[in-house]
Amino acid sequence: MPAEKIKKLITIYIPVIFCSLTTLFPFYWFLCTSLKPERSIMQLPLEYFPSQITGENYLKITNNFGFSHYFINSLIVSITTTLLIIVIAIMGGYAVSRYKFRGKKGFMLLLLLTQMLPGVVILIPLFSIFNKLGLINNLGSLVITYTAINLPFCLIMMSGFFSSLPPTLEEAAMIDGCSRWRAIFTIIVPAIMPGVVSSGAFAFVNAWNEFIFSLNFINQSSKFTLPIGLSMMKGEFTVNYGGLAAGTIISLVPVLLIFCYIQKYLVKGLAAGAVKG
Amino acid sequence: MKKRILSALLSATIAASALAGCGTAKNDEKTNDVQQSAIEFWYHDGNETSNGIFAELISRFQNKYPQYKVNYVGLPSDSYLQKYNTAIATNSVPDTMSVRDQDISAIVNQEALLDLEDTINNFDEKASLNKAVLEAVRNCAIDGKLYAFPEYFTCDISWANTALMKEKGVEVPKTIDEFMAACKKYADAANGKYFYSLRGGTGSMENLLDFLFTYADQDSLFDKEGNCVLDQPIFTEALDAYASIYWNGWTSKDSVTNGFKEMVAEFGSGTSMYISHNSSSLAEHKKNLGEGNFINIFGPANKNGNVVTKNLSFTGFAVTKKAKNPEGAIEFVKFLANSENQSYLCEKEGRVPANEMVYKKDWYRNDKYMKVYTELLNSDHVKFITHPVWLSGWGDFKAKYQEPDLQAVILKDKTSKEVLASWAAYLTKLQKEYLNSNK
Repeated sequence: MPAEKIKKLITIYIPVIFCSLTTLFPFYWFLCTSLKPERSIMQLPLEYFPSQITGENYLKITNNFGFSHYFINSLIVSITTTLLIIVIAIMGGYAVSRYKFRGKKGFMLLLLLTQMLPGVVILIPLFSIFNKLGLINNLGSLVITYTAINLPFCLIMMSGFFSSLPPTLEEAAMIDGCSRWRAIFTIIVPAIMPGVVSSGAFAFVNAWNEFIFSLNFINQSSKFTLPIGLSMMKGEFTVNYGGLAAGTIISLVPVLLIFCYIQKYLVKGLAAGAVKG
Repeated sequence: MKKRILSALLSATIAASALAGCGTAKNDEKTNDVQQSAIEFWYHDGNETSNGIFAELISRFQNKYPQYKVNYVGLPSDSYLQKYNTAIATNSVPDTMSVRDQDISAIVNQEALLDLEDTINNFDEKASLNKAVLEAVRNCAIDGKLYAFPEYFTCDISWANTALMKEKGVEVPKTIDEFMAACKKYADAANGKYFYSLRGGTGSMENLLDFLFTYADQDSLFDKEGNCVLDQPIFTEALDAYASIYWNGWTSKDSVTNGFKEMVAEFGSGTSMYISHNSSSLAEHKKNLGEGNFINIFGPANKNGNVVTKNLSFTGFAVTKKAKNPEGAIEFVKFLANSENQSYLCEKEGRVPANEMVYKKDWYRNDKYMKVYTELLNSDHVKFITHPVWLSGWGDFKAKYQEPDLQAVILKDKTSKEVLASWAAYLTKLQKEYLNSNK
């Protein structure tokens, strides 16, 4: 084998294969476990491919565990949060990028500071506020919280994308008769689509996985979100490994689909956002 | 593009409207011409089995008391306490909730629970409530009051995989010497098979104290003056013996971080054939090993033939001080504690009932596992050690000192003597503070 090929094999292919295997194996193992009958999950020697494939774990969690409620609740909360964040971050990001106003630097610093507080610190004050507003046990409280928590980062990211475009772009459109709103949404936003997609993905995944606020703000089993549902697969003295694996696979599907769709934007968006602004 | 943005905004508006519709349930509802008042009930372990059990019990309750409607919320067992604490801090507690012995002290310190002394005294089946459990409930609070209606308890016990033992010709060890000999003889590190699964991770305290106190043949953590006895040389000897199971490679390397899940998984997969755990893991063993392939037995006895084990660890139902419907909540916990309903719950979940009237039920008398617990409760050779759950720092002690220190001993980073001395000093300080504040 030529030296160049050996070098490529050692420096590229072997590390890539190794990383792929170590990253993908846990997912494969979850899939494998979710398709095994409960009894054979614990059996030794371990079966790396199930000798008997069954869908009973999926059926069980859907029919007996109210998993579909959790899934739908998570979907409602995550999609609404994502849409709100995208809309507000576009407008806020544009304002921060294009306008000069007093206290702008302080405002940006404040946005960054909000990212440094652990969620649990604001749990009790938020709970009290939502309680007074009658929003406890309402998915709206989760949407508002997730939007508020994720918005600063998305807004900063978005303003970086806006700054990467010259103001002359929308000015040219406005000279041709466009209103500012139209110029933003028809000229600028399509040009920063990678940024919109990155922000949206960031918001969606964070809302999808959040646990603490969901546990504390919701007091009705049918309104719990997926992370709470998954957590209940592990009881005080029992663990439903099959159900847990099946639930994890189901909860991965939307995230996986989103990432498949946005992959091309995401890499471009993250890289662009990292160096501009 | 304009259309897309508009449709996105429209979707958000629709979703927000839908969310607004998911409002809080009203406290009072009128159904079938009966004015119903709601009872908010939280259960700390909302798994598939318990959710089904409570659905049935709540249906029975609502049939008997149509004026009440119970809103049941099953919670994740590893984070329920955070929800309880948030609810207490924000005055949004449920009417009633399940509590474990280890939780009560902290919740009572926040003045969140109603004293149930009178309720229990007026309970029709009060005479049949297990005295030891009632005593355990009292021990949890600094004022010695009853803040929970005990429902069931767990006994620390050993589980043996008899099918595997029979196959390998292993006798169930009855003494510590036999147990250590079995650990040594049947350790097969090359094939990843062992006699015993040591628990070095979360929850290691129960197994550790059972072993140390059986070895030392003592049954109290403190002397009369409130000094912790763990710094006595006999406990150093005992901890060395316990840790030697790991030092000698007689248990899996993973044992150092074994929590409940990992230990039961090792037992269930045949990696080990003997574990120390409590009565509540029965369902897992049935699922993993199959009925008839395992038994529950007393832990190994010391040279005097005595076994020292953790005092009954109970779960009960408490009524909160700020309950919106205290009358309904009290009626509900009494309903759950009566023999008929407690029997249903304990039979389905494999729990040991706190109401002794259940012991006369056919299912209990014919249950081979329950027989062992009855024997354990009545044996002259079994002593019970009470864990000081009344100490507000007990939870911290387990998480911040006991668990990491035990791992340090197992990994030979610290010696048994220094660790036990530091534990004794810490617990003595806590106990004396407690005794002084209680004078």
